[in-house]
This record gives sequence, structure tokens and C-alpha cells, in this order.
Amino acid sequence: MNDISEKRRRPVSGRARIPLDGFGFILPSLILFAAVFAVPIGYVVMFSFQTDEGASLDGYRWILDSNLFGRVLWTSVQIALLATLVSVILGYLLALFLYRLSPRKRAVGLAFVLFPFWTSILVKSYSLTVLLGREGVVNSTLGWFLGYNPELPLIFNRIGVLIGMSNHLVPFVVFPVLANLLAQDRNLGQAAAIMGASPFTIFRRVTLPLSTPAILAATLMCLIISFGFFVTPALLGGRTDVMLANLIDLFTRETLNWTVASAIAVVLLTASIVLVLALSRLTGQQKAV
Amino acid sequence: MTETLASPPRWAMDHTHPSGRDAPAQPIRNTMAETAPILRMEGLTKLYGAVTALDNVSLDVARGEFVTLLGPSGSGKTTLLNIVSGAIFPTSGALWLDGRDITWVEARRRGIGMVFQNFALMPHLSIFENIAFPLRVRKVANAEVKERVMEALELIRLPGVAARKPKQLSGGQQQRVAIARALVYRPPVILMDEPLGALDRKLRHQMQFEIKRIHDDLGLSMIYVTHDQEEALTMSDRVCLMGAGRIQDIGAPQRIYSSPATEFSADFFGGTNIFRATVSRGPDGTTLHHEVFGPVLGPGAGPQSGEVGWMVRPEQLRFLPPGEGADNELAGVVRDITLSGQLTHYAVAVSDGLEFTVACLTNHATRGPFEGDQVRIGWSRQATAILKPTEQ
Amino acid sequence: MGKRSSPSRRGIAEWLFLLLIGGIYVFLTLPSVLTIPISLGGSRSVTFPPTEFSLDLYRRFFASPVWTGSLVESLIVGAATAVLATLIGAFAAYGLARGNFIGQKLIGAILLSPILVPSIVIALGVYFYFSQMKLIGTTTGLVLAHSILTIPYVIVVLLSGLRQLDQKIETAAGIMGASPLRVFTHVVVPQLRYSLASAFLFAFLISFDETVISWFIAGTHATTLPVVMYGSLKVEVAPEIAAAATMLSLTSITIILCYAIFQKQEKSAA
Repeated sequence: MNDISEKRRRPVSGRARIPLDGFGFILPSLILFAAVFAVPIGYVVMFSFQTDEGASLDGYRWILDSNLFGRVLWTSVQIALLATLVSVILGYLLALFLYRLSPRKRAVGLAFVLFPFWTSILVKSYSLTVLLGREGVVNSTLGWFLGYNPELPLIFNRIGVLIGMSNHLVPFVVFPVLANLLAQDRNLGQAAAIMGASPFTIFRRVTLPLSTPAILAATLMCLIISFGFFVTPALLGGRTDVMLANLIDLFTRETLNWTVASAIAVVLLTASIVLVLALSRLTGQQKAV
Repeated sequence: MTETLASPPRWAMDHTHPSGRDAPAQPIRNTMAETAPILRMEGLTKLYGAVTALDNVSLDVARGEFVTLLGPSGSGKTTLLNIVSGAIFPTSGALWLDGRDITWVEARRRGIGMVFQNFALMPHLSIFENIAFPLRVRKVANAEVKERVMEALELIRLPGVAARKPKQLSGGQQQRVAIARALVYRPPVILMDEPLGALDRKLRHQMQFEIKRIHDDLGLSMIYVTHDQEEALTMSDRVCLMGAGRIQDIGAPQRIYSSPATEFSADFFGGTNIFRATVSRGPDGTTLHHEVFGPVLGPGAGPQSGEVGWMVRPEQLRFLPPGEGADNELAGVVRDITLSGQLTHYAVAVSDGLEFTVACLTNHATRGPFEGDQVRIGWSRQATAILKPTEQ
Repeated sequence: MGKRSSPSRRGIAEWLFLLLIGGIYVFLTLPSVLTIPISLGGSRSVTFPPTEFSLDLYRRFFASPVWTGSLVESLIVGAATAVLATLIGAFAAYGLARGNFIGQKLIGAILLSPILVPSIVIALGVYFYFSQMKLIGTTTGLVLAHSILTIPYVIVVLLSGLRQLDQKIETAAGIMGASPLRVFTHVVVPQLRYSLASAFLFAFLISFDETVISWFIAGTHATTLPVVMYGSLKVEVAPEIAAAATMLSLTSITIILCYAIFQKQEKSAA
């Protein structure tokens, strides 16, 4: 295969030559993806435009008319935004803490972030059901302090979902923000201090503005993931906490209305694509800087 | 002891070496009576576990003085600068700024200015806001901020760049902005940490001139750190040569170069023609008794006895034509000739494997000695420099 | 003379911050480790703190064919997925990193896209497609679906590993007459062994933990541990869940430890 530096080489002979170096290496994955990724997604799109009678827009028409869909969409947006907000705040604080540590301690601190990151969301959701129930750990501990069990409703409602989602999302914020903070020129903080700035001023006028691209990237990342949440709202949420993914599940397995399920999936996919494009443009801009 | 005056300008103490010698002229002021130093460092020591980064360093910087901390990496110069700036605190010792003890004061309360090698400009702020940063921290009114920033821009001769961002400027321009930023709040002392290290050679020469001009115009006190001896000699009022965490030699550029006080110093500025001998002192001056060369006449002032190092600068040696004599003469054979631009270096083998390097202005008519010629080299006794051995 | 000690007193704000950070860490890690003590608490009451110490839950877990079967299936699917994904992903990563072909950027984006596509969409599509292909409830189907999900991670890990290599070695091999395939197998892969091992582990872990897609395409004969767990959690809280959850957690811990060890080996080998 050619050296990367020769990438833009012009053809020597008069004939145009389509570059194909290394294509054989990606061919197996392309075939697999075509079969098990592209085709299935194609099915989803196709089914969204099809009912038992044939091609139709009934699926989308239903979506537009449906109260249920409207509610679920609004719920999804709300939950996604709220969970993202909480996660970004908590994650940023954690990243700040890690950034100020010595490299050794930072590795340990990161290990404790990586561990929940790699733990199955099912396990985490299950643990939260034990933690957040009326007789769960949180309420029991509070009961121990207060003398009576306050029986805070922390599960099977919005709060439970938000707790579950933030718990999963925080590591996704920590990594990009920490990377940004570590990449910042250390001399900037020192120069600002010598010029008389207090630690808080340094944070406000130097560190925070410079970390804005990372915050934006983390936010987009969280939103993308939030829209796809399935397990957490199912296990920790109540009847008013149904998100788009759960709705799709409902229509596929219980109502057996594949048309509507597909239509909802297409909406979800489109939203994700838009967010992903925004994210790639943002990170692309960052690289140019 | 009195020292004769040569060229005027303003500055203060010359820490003459205890062994004393006829140093080329430097003006002296009675510092104790007239002006107190702007910065006093006493006994500064910094230990990192078993490593001694700084060993009992004391130094005074006079008002308006340009002092350079010169030395190889690991010499302690950056550590010393960091202690002055407040980035680190000493293990022992003290530091006074304008009479105020700032040894344990945090960096932001010292009111010092600093310029970094990589500029450290805020990439997200405009040039105007970059320079205005210390003023905004001090809550200066907008109108005054504008006035002082524009003034600073005029000083660095970049009035038009206020609205741009740092990355739109060249390296040299960014460094000038960094200097303007350090000046705008009129600190009593400005520190510079190898500010020209990131610039290419030609730009560096221009910038040396710029920095010197700003220094002279404003009468600032500056501490400049560099490993580049040429830079140090060109710009400074006083050069403080550091090595192994100590001050090895300190003095005006001319003195420190032609009459280095220690072997370290001699070696740093091009260590050739360095030898050892026992010294004795007579009514005429010192004599160095070298085991191979015999008696070598030294300068008037010097130690009475003992083992010392001594040297002669290559450019102070000359080839003696027949019939001509000098205080010190030695016969030898030209072993090697190296042309390096303006100077030509001759390696002259004297005896017993010992060599002298003689530097002459390149002789285009090539009248000068050739390889293999028998020659006599000579130098005046004033050109012999007695060196204190490097403390270990 | 100034103070003898350096000014490093921590203000109240600093301690409050540390307290907050501690709280965040507890919030973050507690749900990941809680199942371990729960699962050791015996089957009488599934609570925390456990009232007794017993391996009863594990006994019940391994006595149940449904649970045990799903565990075995998860292990098989995980291993097969890891092998397939690492193999295909390694070739793909090399092609993307060193190749020069039409549509390279686009293909790279496509191969990495499953990370960002909501898994429910993939689940639905695979469900429709596998229904037609009679792959529902088969191990093959699970392996294929999981591979799609894990290949992007494999590619990311290997691309990063490839970036560290000295390309001149590959160029030299080519000059000496080796075909691209030979360069890959004999020159690149040996240098990438730690990245490959890490990628393999990650692929296994992701497949082992995967819930959504498996939920849609699992069947009575081929079902994974997470699917049984999820189904159980929705219907009734079977106490064996704690044991299952712990096994999932322990798998994560083990793999992270292995990865950390590999990182160290790689650093000392470099």
C-alpha cells in the first residue's frame, strides 16, 4: 500500500485510476455492515412506510396525530435535557478535581470513574432499585438518622430515571472535559496569578472559557446517549416516564404495530443523526484551532 | 579598593571577587547610602528530597538594573526565578521586594511582572483584553484601561493589533504583547524566563534590541534568565553565572568574560587555555608557577599563595614577530588552523602535549602562520586571569 | 521573617468542595458495587445491608437451568463476538489507517457509526431482518448483531495503537517484497498484540453486558444473561438477579484489571 504522504499523487499515465489501496482490508467489515447494519436499518425505514395494505404514510400520520407520541417525545426531551444538565455539572466538578491532582492520584481517581463506566447499565439500574425503594438503602439510612423512615419517593418516577441516567452519563462528561483541562497551557494560570488574579478569577476568566468546547461536546454526547435510553426508564421510571425507546418496544412486542414502531425509530434516528452531525462539526472546528 | 571609571551609565554594585584583581572599569556607586536594592535575596536554598536545586544563593538587584541569570540547564537559574515569582517557595532563606518581606507571600500578591518563553497569552482573548487583564483584575476604570493599554501598544510598536487574537500574530509579535502585558501595571520588577527561546536567530537579535530599548527607556528593574551567553553579555548590566545551584561568578559582562573569577566561569564562556599552577605574590604582582611552562606573570592583584586555576582568552594571545617580546612568551608549533568566520583559531602545541588556542581576526592576505610553523605566542600579564576552582 | 510553613491551609470552600466530590464519587460507584454484598446476603431477604452471609443465591443461580443456560450462552456469544469483531475490526482498522481508497472517510464514519446510533433502532431493524432470515433466537444471530456493536470499539482501540507504530518498518517490509497482507500479519499484528488483547477484552465485555438488542432477538434456546435478568426485573424481582448482577460486575472488574495490566506491559515493552 502506498505511503500516506503519497495520498494526493496524480496518476502518471493518461488514464484516471480510482485509488483502491487497502480496500481489501475493509471489505469484510463492509460486507458484514451491509448485511447486519445497513439492511436492518433499511428495513426499519422501509417498514415505516408500509402497512399490511402496502405503501402508506399511515405510520407517520399516526405519529403526528397521536397524543401519546407527543407526550412521550416531550418526556424524552425533558428527561434528556435534565439528565444532561445534571451530568455535565457533576462531571465538570469531577474533572476539575481530577485535573488538580498529581498524575498518580489522578490515575486512581480515574479508575474509580472508569469502573462504573464499564459496568453494565442493567447492573447499575438493578442496584438503584435496591437503593431507592421505599425500604431501600437511602430511605433506611435517612430513617436511621431521623428516627423514622421518610419514605422518599425516589423510584418509579422522574427522579429515579434522572438519578439512573446521570449515574450512567457522568463518565462521558469527565473524559472530554478532563482532556481539555489537561491540555490547557499551565503557564496561563501562572501568568494570571502573577498578574494578581485570585484562583476563582483564574477559573472564571481563563479555565472555564477555554473549556467551553469540551462542555459543548460533552453536552451533545449526553443528549445523543440520552435519547437512546431504554433500560433505565423501563426499570426506574413510572408510567409518565416512558421514553421513545420504550415506546418502540411497546409497539413492537405488545401492540405488534411494526409500522408505527418503525416510524418512531426513524424519528429517533433522525434526531440522533442531527445531533451527531452537530458534534462532528464541533470537534472538527476544535481540530482546526 | 578603588576602581577607575570608564563608560558611564547608571547602575550599582559590582560584587568584586574576594581575590580581587584589576577589573576593567565599572562605575561604582555607594549603594548603601544612596539607593536600596529593589530586590534582595538572602541565603535562598531549595531542596527536592536529596537534590539541591539551589544552594544558599544571595543576590541584590538594584533599581533599574538589568541582571541576567545565566547558566546551563540544572544550574538553578529557573528555580531561583520561580522563587522570586512565587511559583515555588524556598526551603530556607528570605526574599525582600522594595523592603517588604515576600518570602511566603503568594504569587498574586507580589505585584511582580513576568514574561514566559511560550508567551502564555490567553488564546480566547483579544490582544487588547490580554494586555488589559492585570488592569481588570485590579478593577481599573474602563477609560484608564483603554489609555494604558494603547500606551503599552505604542511602546512595543504594535498599535494596530488590539482587536486581533494571539494566534493571528507572529512569534515575535506575541512576545512583544507578552512584554506589554507585563509592563502595563508598572510592577517594580519584571522577570523574563528565556523569553526569546522560541524565536529564530534573526528575530532573537531584533528582540534583544527591543527589550533593551524598553528597559532603557523606562528604567525598569529586570531579571532575565537565559542559557545563551551571547544574549547575556549583550543585554545585561550584570551577569550572574550559575551552576550546580550556586552563583559561580557575578559581574559586568566585560569583566566576567575577560577576567572570569572561577574555572566554571572560564569554562562556560569557552573553556580553552585553562591550566593549574601554584601562585605567589611579589611586589610587582602575582606569578604563577606552572610545572611545564615555568613562571607565568599574572595580574597585579591576587592571592598570596596556593593552588589556583588560570587562563588566557584566545583573543588576547598574539603571535610575536621576531624581535618583539611580551610579559609572557612561549614557543610552540602550529598544529591546526580552524576558520570560523571573523575569527581564525590556531591550535599551538607548546610542550608535553599541552596546547594553547590563539584566536586572531581572519587574515585575508594569509600572512599569518601556517600549519607546522614554529611560532612564539605572547600575552600581557594583565590578560592572565586567576580562577577560583569550582566548588563541588 | 515570614511564616515557617508554606501557605497551604485549605479554606472552608476547599473542604466543602472535597466533600461534594466525595459525594459524587459515592453516587457514581455505589450502584456498580452494591450487588456484590447483596448477592452474598442469602436469599431470605434481598436487602442492603445484608442480614447474613450466605452463598445461597449463587447456589440457586447455578441450580436453575434458565439462569445457568443464559450464562453459558452469554459466555459463548461473548467469546465468539470478541473473536469475530477483533478479526474483522483489526483488518478494517489497518485499512483505514494505512490505506488510500475512494470513500475512505465515509467508510470510516460508517464503520464507527453504531456507537452513536441508538441501539433500539439497530435492535428493531435486526429484529425485522432476522425474523425474515430465521435467525431469531439463535446464537449466530446474537453473535452477528453483537459484532456490529463491538467492531467500532475495536477499530477505535486499534487505530490508537496503530498511530504509535513506526510506519517505516512497514514501508521497509514492502520494499523487501512483502505483500500488504503479509506486512499486516507478520509486521503489524505482532507489534499490536497489547492493543489487540485490549480490543478483544472490550468486545467481550460489551457483548456480555449487551441488553437492548439481545432483548429483541433472543429466544428460548439462545438467550443471554442480561436478557433473563431484564425480563426478571420487569416481572418479579427474583433473588438470583443479585447473583447474576454480581457476575456481570465481576466480569467488568476482571477485564478492567486485565486491561490495566496490559497497559503496563505495553509501557515496559516499549
